[in-house]
Amino acid sequence: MSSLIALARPASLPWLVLHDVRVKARGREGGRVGRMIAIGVLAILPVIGGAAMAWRTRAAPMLPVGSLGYVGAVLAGMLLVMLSSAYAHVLRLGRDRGELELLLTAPVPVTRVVAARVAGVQAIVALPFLMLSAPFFLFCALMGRGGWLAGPLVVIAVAVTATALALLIATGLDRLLGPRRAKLAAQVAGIILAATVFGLGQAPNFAPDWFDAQLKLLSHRPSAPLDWPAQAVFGQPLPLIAVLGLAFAAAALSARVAAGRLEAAPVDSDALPATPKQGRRARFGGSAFKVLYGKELKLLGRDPELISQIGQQLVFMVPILALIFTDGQITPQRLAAAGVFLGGTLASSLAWLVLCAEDAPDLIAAAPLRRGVATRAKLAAALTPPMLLVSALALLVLFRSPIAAALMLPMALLAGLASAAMQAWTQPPARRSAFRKRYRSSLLMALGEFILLGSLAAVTRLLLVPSWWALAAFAVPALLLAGVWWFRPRPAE
Amino acid sequence: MHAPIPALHIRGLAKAFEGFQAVKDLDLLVPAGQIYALLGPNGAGKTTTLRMVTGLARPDAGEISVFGVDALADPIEAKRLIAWLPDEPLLYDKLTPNEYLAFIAGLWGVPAAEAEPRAEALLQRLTLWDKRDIRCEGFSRGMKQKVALAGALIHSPRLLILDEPLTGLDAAAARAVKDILLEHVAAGGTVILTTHILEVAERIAQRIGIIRAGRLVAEGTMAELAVGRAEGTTLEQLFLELADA
Repeated sequence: MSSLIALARPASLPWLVLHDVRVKARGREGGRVGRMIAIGVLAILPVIGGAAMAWRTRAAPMLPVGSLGYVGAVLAGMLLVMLSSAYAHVLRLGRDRGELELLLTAPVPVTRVVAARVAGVQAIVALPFLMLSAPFFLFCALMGRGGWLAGPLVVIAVAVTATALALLIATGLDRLLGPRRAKLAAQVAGIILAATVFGLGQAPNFAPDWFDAQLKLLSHRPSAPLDWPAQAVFGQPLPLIAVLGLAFAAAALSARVAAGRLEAAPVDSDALPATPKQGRRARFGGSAFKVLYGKELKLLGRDPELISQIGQQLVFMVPILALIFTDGQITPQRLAAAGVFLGGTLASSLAWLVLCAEDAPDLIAAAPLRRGVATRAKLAAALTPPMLLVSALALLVLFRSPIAAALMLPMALLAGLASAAMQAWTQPPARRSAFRKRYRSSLLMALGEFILLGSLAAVTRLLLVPSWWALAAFAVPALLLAGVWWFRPRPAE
Repeated sequence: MHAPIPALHIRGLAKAFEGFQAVKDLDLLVPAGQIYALLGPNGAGKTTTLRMVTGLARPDAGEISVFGVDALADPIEAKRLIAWLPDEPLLYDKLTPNEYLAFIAGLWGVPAAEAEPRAEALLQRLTLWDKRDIRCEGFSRGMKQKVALAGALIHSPRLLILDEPLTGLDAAAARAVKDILLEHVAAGGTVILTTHILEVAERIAQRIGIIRAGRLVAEGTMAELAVGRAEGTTLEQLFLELADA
């Protein structure tokens, strides 16, 4: 990387982009060899995938019909997903404020510095879609439709457009609402956007008739300028040039607008002094348990960013749970199982926040507390919101199946306690801001939690059937928890 | 007649981290009712020693007694007597100063009837009264340090331990902190502080301990430390001579 940087003209756009890539690459875990292997695999996989598709269908190639309506709808969906992802990255653009300020004080045009940062976002947004679509485009090319090789270029153009839109919306909201409120509004918009995309993606499962009707409508629609992106995918030169030109014009405009915003104020609203917020009059008195419990609930309730992240997690989970547990019909037994899973997931998130992301651990450690008081109070705080949520679900099923409602509550409590225990035993202390990234270094932990909660949900459903298999299913979380406890990292001290 | 119980008595204290001996066979005696400055170069073991006193780290060997209470055998009783104020304030940005003080009072078991007027007095004294119901997230470093100091004092600790209490404070905030420390001692409390600002230690501390590589290399009043040296020797000269030897 350093030799590549040496080739570029100092302070030019490629030089700044390569510098950014170097800094980000060095922040990742794993050595140089590991990174090279990962890049190699990422580059080769699409080629292997496309070649394999072409080889398997060589006798009767199933080439796509190439309806402009279908392709246009797919591109529109892709733009929405990319916009959601770009938005999240744009909000984090100014986080490394110190380094950014160094660049901003250098005699380099601000637009160029911003363009270099934005290029990183564009790459992150485009990469997953390029990886997914490249085999398909390659397959089409190998089957004689060379024009489809323009497809990856259109994917890049859509990513560039999505990033530009995200930058423009973020800047607009900033001016309209101020940085802090804009951040919250963006997070809420992000949840709605992501939920919309996710819901549309699930439409074939939930409303197959409606979905088919929309597809028919798309395929019989007359051609329009909105079809340019689809025509560009098929390799038509003029639409391709127009799409690429428009995307890069939007990128240049947004970089200019964002540069103005960066010069005027920091992108990261955390760097700004907060607007004074009045709190309620504090009440003195109360046991250590009570003040700790109250403190945790206050901190959770006063962090809109965290609430929106947790809300997003739950919104994504609802359709998945509906698919897994309802199987087309909603019964109290299935709802009880879904409630246990949902409650456990929420408890796990909150348990991580209160147990692992304590803002002042030394303060709690220096307090004259009896053993276990702090943990019990924190657990109680982490379990309160999920138990309220599960209680509401239990009320829904109470009249149809009192047993399901009665079983849902203790099983959800058990799921919450079990997932909280996993968090406490395995997760290192961290800052609250790391909430979204907490599983990034431990996929095993994420998988373990999924199995734990899934098996407890299964136990709930089997108990309601009723079936003796429930006892066997109960062995899974029990063994899993025992294993996690046994292999938990021991503190050095 | 019995000798007065010292505020802190450390004997043979030792602590190692992954092979690095941070504190070695340290003996220290801090009399009650005084300001004691614990000085030393970076990495000398000051913070590690104080963290062991406050129960935040477990020593490998040695004894710690706080006003006669064995801090290792009965850490909860010892913690009741101590307040710990590190250089990074132990605060919650989403709580208001009043809520923070109510929280600390709850942790240390101070009844509401005592805690509420004391909180009001501290907030007034530290010029935080107007900000008492505003969340700390927008506060400057100096204001946060003052909130943390109020938190440390809300349970009337007999032993107040401060690690670099003046770091990042402006002149007015630093003055307020020093005044409060002097008032605390005048009211019968004891203060142990670490600082790199030697003038502060020279001016407000009755006794000074200099620690180097985990061991106490000199201890006493300023006059005792200067014995055998040229007249007018400053603490800075003494420190550089002892700490870098």
